[in-house]
Amino acid sequence: MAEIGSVCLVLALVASVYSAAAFIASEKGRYRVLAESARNGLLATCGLVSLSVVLLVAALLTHDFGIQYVVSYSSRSMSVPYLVSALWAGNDGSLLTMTWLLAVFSAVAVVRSWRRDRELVGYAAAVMAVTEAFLVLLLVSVADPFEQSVVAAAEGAGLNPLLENPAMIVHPPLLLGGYAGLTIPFAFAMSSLATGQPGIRWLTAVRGWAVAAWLFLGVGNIIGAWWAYVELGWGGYWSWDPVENAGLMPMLIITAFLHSSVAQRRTGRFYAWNLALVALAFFLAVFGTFLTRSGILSSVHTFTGTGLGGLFAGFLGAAVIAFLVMVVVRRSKLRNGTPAASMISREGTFLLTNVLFVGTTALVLLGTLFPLLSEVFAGTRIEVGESFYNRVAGPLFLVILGLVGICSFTRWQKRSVRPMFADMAAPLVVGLVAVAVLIGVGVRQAYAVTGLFVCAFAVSAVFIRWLGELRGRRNARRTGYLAAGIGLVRSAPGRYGGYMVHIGMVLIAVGVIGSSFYGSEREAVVSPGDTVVMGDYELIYEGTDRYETPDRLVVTARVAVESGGKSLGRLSPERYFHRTYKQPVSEVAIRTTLVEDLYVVLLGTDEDGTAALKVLVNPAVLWIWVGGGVLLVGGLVALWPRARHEGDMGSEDRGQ
Amino acid sequence: MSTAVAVIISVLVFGCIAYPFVRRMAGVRRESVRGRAEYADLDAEIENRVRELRESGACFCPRCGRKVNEADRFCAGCGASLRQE
Repeated sequence: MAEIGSVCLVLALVASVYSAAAFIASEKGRYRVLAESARNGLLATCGLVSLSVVLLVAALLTHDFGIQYVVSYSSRSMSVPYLVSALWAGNDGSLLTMTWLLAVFSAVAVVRSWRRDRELVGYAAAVMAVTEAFLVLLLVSVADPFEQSVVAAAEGAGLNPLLENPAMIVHPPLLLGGYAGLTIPFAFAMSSLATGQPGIRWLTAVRGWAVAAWLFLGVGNIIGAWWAYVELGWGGYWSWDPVENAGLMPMLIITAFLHSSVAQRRTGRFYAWNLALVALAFFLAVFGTFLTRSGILSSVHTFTGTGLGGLFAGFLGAAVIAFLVMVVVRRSKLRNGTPAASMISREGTFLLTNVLFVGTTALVLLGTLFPLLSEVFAGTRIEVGESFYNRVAGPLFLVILGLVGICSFTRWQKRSVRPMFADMAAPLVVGLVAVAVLIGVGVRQAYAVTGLFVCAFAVSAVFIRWLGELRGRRNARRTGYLAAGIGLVRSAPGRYGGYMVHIGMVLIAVGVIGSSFYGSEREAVVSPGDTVVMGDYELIYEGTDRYETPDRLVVTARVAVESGGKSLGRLSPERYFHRTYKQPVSEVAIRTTLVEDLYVVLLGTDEDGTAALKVLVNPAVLWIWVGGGVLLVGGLVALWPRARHEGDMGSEDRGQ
Repeated sequence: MSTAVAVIISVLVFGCIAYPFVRRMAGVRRESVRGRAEYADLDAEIENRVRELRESGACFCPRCGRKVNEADRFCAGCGASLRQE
């Protein structure tokens, strides 16, 4: 099986290199037949990489310990879903997964655009083929997933127990898919430059891919945050780890692009800006891969010592140079003579949003690279703490959130300021009422109150606008609210998907603000019968249970939870020792309500029954996951094809 | 066994890549089939052009800027008349 897998990858390398060369040659000479052959080469690459993925999964499922990768990342005791997920548990396998996703995306993109965007598809496919060839080259040389094991092993090392969580089955492929998906918009942007077609054709071709990549990254990051929260036991969900930042930065840039692409379609301006954003998102995705695989920064995510870092850095450099050369060659097409509209317009607010997204990304990038920069320029490695990011990115995100609300009241053309402020009165009132209620229940910190005011303002602004449009349609079509609502979403899925995403973002913001400003934490050493008081909660420690499973020794603490004399049930935080991994792992117990999470970690136990408990109360965390769900639904709605025969009204707002 | 499978896969891949050329050569004898394919290409081309026109020369309401259909007399958004001249 291993030999066939290796042969597939070598053939994939040949096919993708041929495909890239043939696409470029066919575009230069307009040879249709050659282009078809090149397309088949790209499809064959997809088939070959898919086959090698199937072979590796089969090897994992059948415990083929003749393959080193299977020995390193799986064991006989693992269940089928985790065996499949071992495909992306290690360096070589995750690279194969990313290559496979890129191959599938490229095949779909090329087939979809083959007739529709014929002028653009050739060079775009060439860029995709080059990227695939680079990744496959790594797979056949330095990161061979089918490498034979030196000694025949009877049992594999298995999965790191921390990764035994359903979230870890989906989190890595989502982020890899996001990274891979960003290649497609970049490919079309390069093609737009290469063919000298500014227009909006390339935007139409890449919109779906940009939304999909954004969705992959967004949901992937949120699931990663959820995993960190329930599995790692430090009570938080985001630590501004370099690799987390690497997943966040391309997402911020592609978010900016989704907004400015709407602006380009509306106004015809922003072409150069959009090209730059798409290219930047792609560069950041490659940079993220470089970070994970080079080990130059310390992070929980890295695959150190893989020797891939330099190669990714080289590829990144080549991509940046190629893009800049194209920009210089086509500089005459990038100018636009028309002056920008006033700042008090949709265009102005979109531009401001864009600048903020790019600025936030730049600051996050600076923070991520600061340890390296300080080492090079000052001689000492200075790590940037969480407080830097929270202080810098927090306010910027808040302003962006405020703009979500304000954007609802701007129009694409000039609008006088007075009616705009008149429309804004209602959500401002909602925001102030929210502030009054919050102060009433004891939320007094200025920053938190401001943040929640902005949240209330933004979410009510979105709802008010939505309701207005719904009423308009209901009156125009004389239908019920439900029919009008469905019709509205079907007529412009991008726009209403966008509304939902905005609502999801506000919910996430509420969760982040609540848990960042009002979280409390304490640690206590308790004997059976002792009570730990935490806010309104009383936690009564009753004792521990011990039991064994084939691969672990488990200690469970029994903790009864009461509040005001009323029993709220029982929590059982666990701590276990994994035999293969020789490391203790905590299994957190969480009691979730709409208002707050009670989060209990068992830090350790003693023979005499005493236990060390860490208890946290994290307000509003549930809303982060709810917001993530809304974001997913909104993203899927935005990807939904627009209803036909709906007229064109409002359709240009897609992807807002 | 593995060698045989590897050979089969290789043949398939090179077959895929070579197929358009083979078809082109064989196609000389099947003029009609090629003709139809070219018409299909032409259709796609026309569709492309039409879409381009639609996208570039779309109509907008002069009062509220909402996108309207060319045949509309009034804007569905603000009710402004679209037939001044």
